[in-house]
Amino acid sequence: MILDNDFPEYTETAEKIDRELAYVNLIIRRLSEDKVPCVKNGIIYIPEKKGPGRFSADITHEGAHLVRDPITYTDYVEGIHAIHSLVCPNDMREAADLANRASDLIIENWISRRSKALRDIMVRDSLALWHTHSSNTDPKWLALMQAYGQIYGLAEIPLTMPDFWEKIKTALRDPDRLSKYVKIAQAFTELPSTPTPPPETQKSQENQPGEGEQQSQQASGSGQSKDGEKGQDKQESDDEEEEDTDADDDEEDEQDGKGQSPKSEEDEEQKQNGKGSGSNEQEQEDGEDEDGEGDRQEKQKTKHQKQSEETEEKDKGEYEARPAEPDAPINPTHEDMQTAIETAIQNSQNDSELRERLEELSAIGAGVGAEEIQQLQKDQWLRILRFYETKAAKITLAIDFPKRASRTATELSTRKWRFSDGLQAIDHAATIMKKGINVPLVTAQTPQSFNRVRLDRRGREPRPLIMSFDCSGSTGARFGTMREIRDWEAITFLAILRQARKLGQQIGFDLWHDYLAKEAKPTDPRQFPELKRQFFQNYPGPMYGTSITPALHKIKQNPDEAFMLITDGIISEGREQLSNEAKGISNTLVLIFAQSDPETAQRQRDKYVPAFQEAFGANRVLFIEKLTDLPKIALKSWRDWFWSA
Amino acid sequence: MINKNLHTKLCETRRLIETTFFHDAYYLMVVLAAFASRSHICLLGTRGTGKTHLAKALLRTVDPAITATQQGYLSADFEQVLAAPKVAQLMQGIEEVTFRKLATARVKMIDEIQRLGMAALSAFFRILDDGAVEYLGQERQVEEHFTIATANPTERDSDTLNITIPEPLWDRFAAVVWVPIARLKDQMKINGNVKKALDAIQPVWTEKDLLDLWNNVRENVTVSKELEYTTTLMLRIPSICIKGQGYDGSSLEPEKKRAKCAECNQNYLCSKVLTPPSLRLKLAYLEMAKGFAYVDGRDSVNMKDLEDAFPVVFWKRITFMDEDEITDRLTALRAFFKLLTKEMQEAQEAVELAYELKQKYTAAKMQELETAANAKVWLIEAVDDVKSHQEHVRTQLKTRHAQAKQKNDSDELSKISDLANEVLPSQDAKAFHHNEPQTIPLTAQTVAELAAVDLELFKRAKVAFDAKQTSMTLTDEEARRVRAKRTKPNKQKAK
Repeated sequence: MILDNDFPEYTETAEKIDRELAYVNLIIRRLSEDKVPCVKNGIIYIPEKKGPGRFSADITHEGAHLVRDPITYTDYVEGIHAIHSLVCPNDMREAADLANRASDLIIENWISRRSKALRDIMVRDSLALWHTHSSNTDPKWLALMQAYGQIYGLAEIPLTMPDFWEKIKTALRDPDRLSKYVKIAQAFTELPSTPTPPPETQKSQENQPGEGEQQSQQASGSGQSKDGEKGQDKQESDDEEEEDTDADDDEEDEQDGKGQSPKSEEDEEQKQNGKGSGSNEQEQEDGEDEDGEGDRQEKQKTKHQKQSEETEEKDKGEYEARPAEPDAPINPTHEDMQTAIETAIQNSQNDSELRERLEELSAIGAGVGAEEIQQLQKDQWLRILRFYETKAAKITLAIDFPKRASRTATELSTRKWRFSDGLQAIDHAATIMKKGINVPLVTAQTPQSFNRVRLDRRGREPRPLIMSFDCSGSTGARFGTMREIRDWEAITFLAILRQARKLGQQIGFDLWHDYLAKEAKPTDPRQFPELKRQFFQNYPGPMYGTSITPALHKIKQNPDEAFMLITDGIISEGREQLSNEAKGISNTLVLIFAQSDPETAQRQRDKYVPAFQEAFGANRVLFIEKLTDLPKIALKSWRDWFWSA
Repeated sequence: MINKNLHTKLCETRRLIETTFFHDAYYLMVVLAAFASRSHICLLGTRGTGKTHLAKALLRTVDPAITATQQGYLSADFEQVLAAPKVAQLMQGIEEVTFRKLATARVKMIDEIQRLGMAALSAFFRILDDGAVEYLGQERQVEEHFTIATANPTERDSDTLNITIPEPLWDRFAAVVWVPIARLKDQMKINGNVKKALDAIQPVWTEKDLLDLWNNVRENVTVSKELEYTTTLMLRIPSICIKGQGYDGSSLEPEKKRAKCAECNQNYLCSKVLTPPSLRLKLAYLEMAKGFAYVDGRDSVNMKDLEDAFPVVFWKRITFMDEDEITDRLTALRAFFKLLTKEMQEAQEAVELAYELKQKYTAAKMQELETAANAKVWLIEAVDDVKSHQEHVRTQLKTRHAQAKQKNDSDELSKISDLANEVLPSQDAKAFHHNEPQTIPLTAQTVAELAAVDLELFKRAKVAFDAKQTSMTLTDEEARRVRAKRTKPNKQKAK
């Protein structure tokens, strides 16, 4: 069926072609006149004002890409990679071009056998193409046209490269798709570099498309005798290709009733019908699969004839050939390239690997997304930011978020009472009922409430979050190597920004070491791009010590905001000083990541983590054993904090 | 056959409701179809569209002794709505339970279901499944019951009186229909008399009648095999995803599915669907279709019934990829039904091809089927089906072949060779070829037979026969063709 058609005037034609292409569900969109027809994501784009003949040929060709080869963009890229690795390892662009030609030949060969209606359309198109670009002497172009000529049995396109055609014929018989691609590509690369001029005799007569059209009508109608002469190879090719398909003996068996020499009778029949061999023979063979199908076949023939006649009628004087340089069979759309870039980023382990992959992509892209790729190649910071963002996206995908964020819940701290908290902090009711006497770390503390939401003029919204990052020297540099702490801090930040956008939460950040190096106030999700820029531009150099006091002062000064403190916990303050500084803080979650050195990590476990737990409460301090888990754990903690009831 | 008395009662119900409910006839038809087929239904709509009025009108037509109505409000939790302990007995240590009317009624109506208490709402999972309510270890089950609910999903989530109804609960409602505000011509009819007319409705349905009705629809309205197959495909086509586990699109998170569909071809119908329907849909769909047929006075479901039932059973079970852009969901669902039916019609040939391929394999047909699967991705299952059938045959033939070889049973080996040639691709069939030459008796009849097989073979046989030879040796290949020729007339007869 036709799912969408920007050319309502050709709906009937489109429906017929859709039917011939196994009801591929055509989606046809209009392109501006100067563009080349192409397929993107199963949508066929056709340039406007080209006439019904061109329209038919374009949707036949592009539609065939959707049902026969390469079907999807991923399949096409597979073909390019096969050619790239086996035929032209140094030139990805060349591989893409060859894959394009291979795919075109595969589908043209298929169309020639698919149905007479489609074959007629493409015969006319190939002839118009040949006559319109008659001055083109590029060997690849000539070779391709000669292959078309042989496939469709066109006498007008002389065969001057028989060796090339032999190779193509062999390749087209290969049952393996990728192997077909490679063999066809190989045949093109082995072409002589000097052009083989086409014989003048044929072309001088047929330089005008109008005349070419007459030729095409001859070829598709009564001109089948040409198939018999020049299209001999084509027949052979078809027959041989069908060898392991149609040529099952039982097929022949079913030709009984026609006497002992079915072939000869068939020929006679064909003569009577005024038909030659070529693809019609193929059709007949197919048609004879079942008994009593003769009539149906006859009907079909009449139908097809009528169809092509109708199309021919419409085409008169309006035919315009397609461009000499065909477009990629399945064109990468902007989205395709975005996906490809994302995939490249996702699959890269570090920045240098990413650069290599981008280089490959710039070759395949052939224009689409080239600007973006170039920009990424040049701008290291932009590239690293995208790299981090993709990693962050992957992490956010791996974590389940509730459909809706909590908007009302109040979270209560469960920290136990200590002498240092003072008597007013005791939850008297709980204490008296449960224990009767105040025991430090057993007695309940008055619940410290932390409302996840705040009320403002616009209603309830999540409490703003400030992410407070330790940027001391031990956190290393941030160059996308994925070995430094700062790489993972950045990914954590970006992952939370991604999800905070959905929540509508304001986010800010603090970068601190010996002092607060940079403070960014919480901003709306709309300002996040700017926030990211600030985050990346203001990161301090890797040569400072670690004093947490300035960060804690900031937290105390902003009790209405939530804080996520990310540090390795190795600070210059002692245990007592930390407890004093942290006193009264209930709005902070501390994430301590383990250092890669085992001894340091042990020291963190033994000394620093307990100190933080004492200062902030055990439920407020998380120790992350593996640095790579930092973004995941941070995101989960943040989710539990703000999303769940 | 449908029971005429019951059908007359259903018509009477329709007439009575029409005296007080003025709206597009489709909505009343949906409710009646659900009522007749005992398919639980939820009416959605903004405030004041007449959904509660419609539900009340329907309830009025049923004997009040077997109906119960519950208004949704947050404190209407389990104990208030469904079952509560008998306090006096509980004080004495006896756990006795009073089941409320809603738990025992045959026809239940829940107004504003989104406001019910959490526990009561949870209990509806089971009520809608098998009609059972369990409390303090005691259970009360009214399996044959019909629930009609109303909900207003447009109320803002900041309104704490609302509870989001979980997807699995929606799935337990066979049908969900959005009731818009009535159009002008119907609004003109709405006046103060509407309430009077509602009050004037007298019960039509007794408990026995109702049970008979439900039984009558279930047992006597038939669905043909073809239509059942159609409903299965209607569920499968939007559900398939070649990237999902077992081609199951619902195994992908919506975000992931969206991302995968963006990479895939847009001409596949599955790419139009973000959340595919669950398997419950099929049963609900068939039941609702039966309901529509019954309301129309027929005892068999037709395509029109499937078309009418489609939007209401798919309403909450499917999400489109471009859901945000859809303003008229009913029209969008009807259009999707048309797409699906056309898709199935177009694929009919390919489906038949798959069937033929299982009977007799030819590479050309297989290629055609694969092409069709490239055009309509869900046909990939037909391709897989053929392949797995071949694998099954191959395994069976292997065993038979080994046994026949052990016994040196030439006839059996020939049979296996023939079968393999018929059902398997040629490269696979080669393994079962019986390569020994075979001897056939040479008679005038045999020679005549050979003439129909092959000219060369005939010539050879003729020479041998003229030379008075009594037998002739054929290669396996030739023998196979002769055998095929011999079996052919029978095949033609069978056809």
